[in-house]
Amino acid sequence: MTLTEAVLLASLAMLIPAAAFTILYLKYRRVAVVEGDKHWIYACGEKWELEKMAIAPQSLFWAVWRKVFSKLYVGLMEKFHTGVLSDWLMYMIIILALAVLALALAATGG
Amino acid sequence: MYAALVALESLIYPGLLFIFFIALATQWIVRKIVARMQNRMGPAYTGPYGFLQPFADFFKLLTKEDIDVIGSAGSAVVTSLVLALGSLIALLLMLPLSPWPIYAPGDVILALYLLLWPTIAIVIAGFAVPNAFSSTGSSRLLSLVLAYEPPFIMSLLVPVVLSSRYFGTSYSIYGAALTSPNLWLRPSSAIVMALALFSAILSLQAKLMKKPFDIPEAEQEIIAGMFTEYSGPKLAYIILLHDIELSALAILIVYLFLGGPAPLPGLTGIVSVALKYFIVVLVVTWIRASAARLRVDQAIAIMWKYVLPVSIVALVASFFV
Repeated sequence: MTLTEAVLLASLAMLIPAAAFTILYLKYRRVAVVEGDKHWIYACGEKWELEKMAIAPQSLFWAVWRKVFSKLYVGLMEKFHTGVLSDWLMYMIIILALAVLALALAATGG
Repeated sequence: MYAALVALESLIYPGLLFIFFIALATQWIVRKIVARMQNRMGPAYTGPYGFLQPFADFFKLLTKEDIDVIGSAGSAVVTSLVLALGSLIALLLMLPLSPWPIYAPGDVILALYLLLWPTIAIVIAGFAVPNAFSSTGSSRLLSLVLAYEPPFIMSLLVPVVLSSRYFGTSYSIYGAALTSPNLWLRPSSAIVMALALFSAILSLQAKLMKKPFDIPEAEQEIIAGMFTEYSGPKLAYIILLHDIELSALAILIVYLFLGGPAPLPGLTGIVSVALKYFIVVLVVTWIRASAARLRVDQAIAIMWKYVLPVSIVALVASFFV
């Protein structure tokens, strides 16, 4: 069996049970009757406007990573942010030298 | 012809019917173990020793009102959930459990792709409703994914790489599962396998969102996280997805790391697989029932400081031993 055939068979094996679950869902679910506040977003009893309900996912996601890497960031900043212009020039030259080296290695095939 | 057989086994064995029964039976075992550890009875009334309780719960939820809260994308949630359930069934068909398995050189990539579906479905479920608790849950899960997924993938690659190097299985999950018992017979590869197993079990705990990694659905902090707005049939599928994920990944670990039916020959190997499966479920449940929840930054720190380096060492070593 080739990898393409395996992918096709796996897709088949994925879609058939998925179709069976969809049929089960459509057959047995009861359509909800619209009454009271059961279609309203749960907010621990507070009345929020719909626009203010959700939080932007990207800000939540990055907030965690900012917290995780805050120590590393502060450590690096204290070490490298010297305020001396020649230090920054040295960092730039080092980064460019590494980039040239990587490009040279890639061009020559390692 | 082969496609028809694969289609048939995707519905019966080791497909839908088999894994549905195994997953809900496992849920009963887990509930009983947790209850014993907490000095409770657990399920006791529906069926003998409460065995049918998970089945009753599933069908009760399935037939309840299907409520879509305002501004939600209900059909996207159902679509992603059923595809995730299907992906785990397709994964089972790539193991020696299946009489007509799906295998090819390099199919480990396909297995890793199928393994990602449940996480994607749960993240979609959280972001599909405009609720702050759901968004927070999905956000936490996405953060955790970057912490547990690299060590989990690297641990799974260890037996695949070792089997390919020793037995020429061409980076196939099926081949690796067949030859994994032999990897424990050489001292050098046994050490690498042990490291990978340690890393796989801990990242499995995070992948399944079990304590101490149940941060995305921390009930005392964010109600039920991604699942806050779900009830009825959608909740039934979410719970079923959790259960099937536990069962499918435990079976995967049994075959890739613990040697599947070895050392028992022939049909008696079923006893060996069942025993090893129970041990994996027991370890996961034991950690779950005895550990307190971590904060998300603590969980990421643990994964990156301890579990990830172990899996990197194991993977690099697997190319040299």
